[in-house]
Amino acid sequence: MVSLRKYGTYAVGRFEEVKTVLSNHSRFTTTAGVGLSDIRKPDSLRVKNPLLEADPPAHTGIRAGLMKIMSPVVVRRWKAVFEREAEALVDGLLAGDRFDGVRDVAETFIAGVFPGTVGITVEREKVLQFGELNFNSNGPRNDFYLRSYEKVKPLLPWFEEAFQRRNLTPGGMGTQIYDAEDAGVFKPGTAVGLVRVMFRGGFDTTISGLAAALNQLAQSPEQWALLRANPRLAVGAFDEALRHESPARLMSRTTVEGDITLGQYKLPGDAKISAFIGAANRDPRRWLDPAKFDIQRPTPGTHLAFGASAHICIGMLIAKFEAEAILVALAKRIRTIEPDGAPSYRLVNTLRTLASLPLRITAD
Amino acid sequence: MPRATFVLVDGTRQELEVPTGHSLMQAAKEHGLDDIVADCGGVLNCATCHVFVDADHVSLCPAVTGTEEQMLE
Repeated sequence: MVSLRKYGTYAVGRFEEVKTVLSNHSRFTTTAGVGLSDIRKPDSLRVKNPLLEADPPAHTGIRAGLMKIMSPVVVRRWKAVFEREAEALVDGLLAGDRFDGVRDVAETFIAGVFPGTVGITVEREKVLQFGELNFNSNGPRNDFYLRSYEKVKPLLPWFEEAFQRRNLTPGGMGTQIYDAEDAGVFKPGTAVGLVRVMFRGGFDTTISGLAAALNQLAQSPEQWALLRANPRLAVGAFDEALRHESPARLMSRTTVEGDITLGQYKLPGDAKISAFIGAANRDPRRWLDPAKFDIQRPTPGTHLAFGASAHICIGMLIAKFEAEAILVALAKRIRTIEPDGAPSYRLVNTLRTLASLPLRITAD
Repeated sequence: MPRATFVLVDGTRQELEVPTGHSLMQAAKEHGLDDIVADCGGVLNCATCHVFVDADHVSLCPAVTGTEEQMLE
């Protein structure tokens, strides 16, 4: 454990400690915010979210209400839509032999299929700007945060409007959340925050994970060949990409008052502690050859990129089915895929995400 | 070591020795029994694994947790 004095937080990066901090809500609470700033204080960069920033038992009922709306049975019904859209996208790619893995695949695919599940209509560029602000605001009040806040400020009314009930498609998860609020499942006034977190959670991190998977697959012809030979490895490939280059780099918690110990250290109460998920997912104490991208590694269910325990990503299954659909569609039709220049990253506090990924392919 | 018999979709049976406390899903996956889908990897998120526990043995199992309850229709 280290103390990051500049940012006013403790930090852990080993697998065991990160898992403990993410899981043990009675010692490490989310109610003071999952970013670096304390949402109970007036200068916080975040506003409290009704799902993310609640601990059991208050959190349990809210999550159960959402789980009904996005149950595995419901999510499985979207699989056919994801597969159809994925095949159409790959048809388009095969018109040429070069494309950008971020813009033309990860962003286009997720912006194409995911908003429909929530029942929201959005413009891709604006949503990406909001994503940057969201992840920047989980970090310190630095230039990244200030610049993205200035950029997004004029769009804030548009964004709030997009999540209002009157702008959501009937039948989508968003409308169902509002209906459940009417039925008393959620506290009055919380539906908009739940719709927001559901949408937010399914956008930037899924794009990042998908682009990371493409980047690694393009760099390892033998892994691409494995995927082509056995498309059932697609979900494992996505999980392995999330382990290998975890999109959400850190999540923070706050110690409760009392004798809090972590390993051999005693911690004061009311102190921020940041769990570095990306580091934990490469911890050599936990992973054999952690820097190697290996789609056959039994990664699903064992890494921390989706979080852990009560707050584990509620939309995990949507992300996995989206990734599976597009990776399988690509693997079926593309014989070789390789880098066509160096990829570049977008610099965002607490989010690891590619900006561009030039790729070159040969079709079957 | 306890022995578990897996009956696959095509009716074939496969016996595995599974250490006490280990997950049946993981044991199946480790031995390449792909009939077990396990989309989420065992973190109570996909409900592709369901278990019927014989009434005689229910008392040997821990109580159903809230998260498990949420995954049932």
